[in-house]
Amino acid sequence: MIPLALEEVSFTYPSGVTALREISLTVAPGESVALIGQNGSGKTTLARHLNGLLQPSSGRVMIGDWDTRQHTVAKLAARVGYVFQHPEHQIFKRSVQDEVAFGPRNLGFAPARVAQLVEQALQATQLSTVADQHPHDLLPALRKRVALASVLAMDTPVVVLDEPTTGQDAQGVRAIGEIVERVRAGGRTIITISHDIDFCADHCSRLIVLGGGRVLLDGPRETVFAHGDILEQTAVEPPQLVRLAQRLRLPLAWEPQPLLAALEQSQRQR
Amino acid sequence: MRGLAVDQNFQVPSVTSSTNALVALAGYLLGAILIIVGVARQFTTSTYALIPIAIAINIVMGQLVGSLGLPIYLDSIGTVLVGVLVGPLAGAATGGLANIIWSLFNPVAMPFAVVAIMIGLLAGTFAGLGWFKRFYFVPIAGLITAVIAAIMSSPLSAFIFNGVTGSGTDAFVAAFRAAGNSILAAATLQGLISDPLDKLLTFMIAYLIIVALPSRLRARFSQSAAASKLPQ
Amino acid sequence: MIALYQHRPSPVHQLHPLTKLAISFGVIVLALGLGVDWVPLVLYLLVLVPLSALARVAGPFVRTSLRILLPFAISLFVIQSLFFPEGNTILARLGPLSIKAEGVRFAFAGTVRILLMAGALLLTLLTTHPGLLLTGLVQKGFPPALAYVIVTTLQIVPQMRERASTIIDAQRARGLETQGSLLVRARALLPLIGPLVLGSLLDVEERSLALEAHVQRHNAQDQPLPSAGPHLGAGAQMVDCAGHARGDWLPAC
Ligand SMILES: Nc1ncnc2c1ncn2[C@@H]1O[C@H](COP(=O)(O)OP(=O)(O)OP(=O)(O)O)[C@@H](O)[C@H]1O
Ligand SMILES: [Mg+2]
Repeated sequence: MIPLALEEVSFTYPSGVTALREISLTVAPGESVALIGQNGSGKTTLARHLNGLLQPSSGRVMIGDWDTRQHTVAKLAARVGYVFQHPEHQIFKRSVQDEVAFGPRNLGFAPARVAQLVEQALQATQLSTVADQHPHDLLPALRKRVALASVLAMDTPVVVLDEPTTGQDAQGVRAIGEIVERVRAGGRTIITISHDIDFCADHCSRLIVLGGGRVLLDGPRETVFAHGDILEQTAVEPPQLVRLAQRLRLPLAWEPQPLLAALEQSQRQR
Repeated sequence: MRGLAVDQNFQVPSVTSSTNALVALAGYLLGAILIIVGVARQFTTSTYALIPIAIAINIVMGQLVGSLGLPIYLDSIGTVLVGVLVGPLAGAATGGLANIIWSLFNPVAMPFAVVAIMIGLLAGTFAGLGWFKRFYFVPIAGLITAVIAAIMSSPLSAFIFNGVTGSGTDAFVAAFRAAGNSILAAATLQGLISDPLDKLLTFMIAYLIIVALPSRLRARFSQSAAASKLPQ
Repeated sequence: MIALYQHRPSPVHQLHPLTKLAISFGVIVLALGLGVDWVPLVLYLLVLVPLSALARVAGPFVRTSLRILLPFAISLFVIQSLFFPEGNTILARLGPLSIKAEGVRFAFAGTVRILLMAGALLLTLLTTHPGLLLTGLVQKGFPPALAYVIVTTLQIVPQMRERASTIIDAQRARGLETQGSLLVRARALLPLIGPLVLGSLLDVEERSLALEAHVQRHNAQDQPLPSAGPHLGAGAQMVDCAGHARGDWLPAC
């Protein structure tokens, strides 16, 4: 398991748009971090620096002891798995299990290890029953899980998820949440980019709020949600329950049970 | 050209005059336009929706392969796919229209429209013969297509472009000319050397893609005559 | 994607697209029909270049025609002046090779012919919006459905290009090497082509549904597909028609 570090990273696209401005942060092994912020705040740009798809214009990105400049994307793929938003952008095999095996094979694992990783990834994403089907014949929600499985099977210490819940119904969101929890339990670092603030509150213990290419807030959920004014700057609305708690002047909570407990306690005090 | 001491009786046997160029240009272009317009009226709307995608695949694939730095073009994969999935006429139309569109960016590509048409037509014909059912027939279909394409394009290279293609394969033209071949022969031999690998790979990749089609796409193409002759 | 078109206020831009196309082919026929080596060069310099200046596109016109010409010119002069077995007038010797006058003349003739053909067509392409060019052709009997195909393709290509670059990123992120030996790069082909073609073909389903809806709407109005009215504005209409199909092209982000 490895730590991540961004050291004063700035990035300007060839078009001249500066998307990241002197960002410094570290992520410890096993953390579950959410990147949030309004459209265009720089979330995807930052995430693409983690596996070398983009290189900083200045500063550096360290993945464990590797400087991303010194390694190709294909090499960095052994350390950072990146699940793209649209599964259509990667699927080309005739069966789910072949698709999932593509990544681990690229990393040069032995056939037995590949088979084992594929099976684990299919189990974690609950796709074992459709392992022989064509990925494109699955419903979109399941196809998204195929993309997830194909990255999980690479057994990377770090996993980046770009908008994992778009296009999912409530049940799909729950399924993805369960997968994330299972991966967390395995000790891997997870970085989630999402506009789904409820999902982030449920599954990420640390939130990094971006705005205009800078880190506006960075900390545990409770600290970040307490800064309603700053969140507003980058058009992030805290989860419903947090807003309810704030209205009721109760301690912050994003799950029903703690909120109810706080409510009861405050009534008792009155 | 004045100022050069040229043998006044200079009449190069197999070398061309610009009148030949005119005849070649007019013939090939007119033929292409008549074919494209002639086959166009009988397609279904889903074919009309497919063709732009296929042409865009041609263009983008050509660029992608170029960016990988591979010594091939693969810029007729879309044409071959339409030929195989829908039929020879649709393949022909795709090739011809792809060439017209390419000419909007590089007008000297225009005379070669008939060659692009022929590639789509042949791909569809081979699929109709059942050659796409078995993997080992596919490269043969690719090779035959390459030979026909090379023979068709060589008069254009010879008469309009005086024997060259403006690409790296002109090294072959140089070699064949150095060996004493006529312009037409050198242009033809150049095509016979450089086209086969490209068409072979194009046909094999098209086959692999068709094999990988999900069943909801197979269902869409199952009405076409060629569909029963596709691999399982 | 509007190909080579350069928008300028000029009398050449105002000409009917088919008039320009006729001029282009007329110049080509004249140049080749006369069968004199230097005629194409004269026509290029004395007719096409002044016309491009009148159209205020002289810069792009000369640049683009030379860019197209250059690879041909290099090949022609190198190959045909050095290797010209039919010639016997030796101008110079370079070791075992010799430059022959007939070869130089042949290379010159080819070069100026290509320059003229490229230039004549470029003049039309630089000064005519593809939509208007197609509308003009449709009025003269070019099938409207084919014009639709061409316009749609021009709209799709930039999106397809973007899709291709995302696919490259997505597969590299799964450990696919795209640099290195020829074999390594060749092995990258299928994982890149596969998603591009499969994803695009799957979009056809949705696009063809949109197109079928379009046909029905137009049949209701008793018009052919896609409608190409008697005036040039129909070009815009065609672009518009391609626009809807495009709505279904990429998943919303
Ligand atoms: N390929 C690109 N070329 C030029 N500019 C880009 C490119 N991609 C993004 N940008 C710009 O960089 C800035 C940050 O974009 P980025 O995609 O990182 O934001 P984001 O937070 O991921 O937004 P979203 O929530 O919409 O996905 C924006 O101003 C955007 O317009
Ligand atoms: Mg983004």
